[in-house]
Amino acid sequence: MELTESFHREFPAVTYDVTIKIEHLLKFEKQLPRSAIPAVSL
Amino acid sequence: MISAVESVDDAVLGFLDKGHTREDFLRVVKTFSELGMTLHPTFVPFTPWTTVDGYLDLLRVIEQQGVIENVAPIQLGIRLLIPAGSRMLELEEVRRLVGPFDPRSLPYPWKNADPRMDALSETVQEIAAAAERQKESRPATFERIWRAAHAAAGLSAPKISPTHTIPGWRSVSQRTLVLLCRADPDQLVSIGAQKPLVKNGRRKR
Repeated sequence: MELTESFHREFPAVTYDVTIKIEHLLKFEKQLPRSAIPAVSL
Repeated sequence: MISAVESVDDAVLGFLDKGHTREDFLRVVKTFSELGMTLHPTFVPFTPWTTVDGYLDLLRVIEQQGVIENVAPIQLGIRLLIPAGSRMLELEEVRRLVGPFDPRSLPYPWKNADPRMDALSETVQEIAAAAERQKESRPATFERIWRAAHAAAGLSAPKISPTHTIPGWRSVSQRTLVLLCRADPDQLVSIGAQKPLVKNGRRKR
């Protein structure tokens, strides 16, 4: 997340895909809102 | 965000040792909807254990969860690939199912006990390939696959409800960055262009 957020600050127009296992999406569910940062299309 | 859901059948998920259940997937879909985030689930619909009812169930889940736009049509035609050294071969049931290793095409060949499923997988792959060439919309392609699957089951295809779209879900757009990172020692995260790991309509396990 730290790398992603840092990259977004530097290059806000760049979008990306990310692949995450279902079990990890559940395990790290509370971090998901941080992934929905503005201007970043996930 | 992409996630390898592979199946919505808990028995198949058990064989694949995915570490999640059907309910886990549905919970993630709900969470993403609430957050207004987009999930692109990927699947391996055709396995030795896939039944025609199971395939129809997968299509219904995709329809009812409002993610038709989020599933690339080829995802609905992918067959389980069992290469040399696959952990799937540790299962006695799999070893009994597969034929001799084919050094030309590389995987162990297998056939579904229900010949309708092997025929349907070819039909779905042809529909997906034609849709790609014709730049057909995902809902239109899904409807053709929906009809083909119901025909394989000897059923008339019910109408797909246009209301099955969850607000907040966004359709696919071009991605621009290819990047791999390990954000957490226990959480492998790959970031990159959306190119399914598909060769000849099959995904390597």
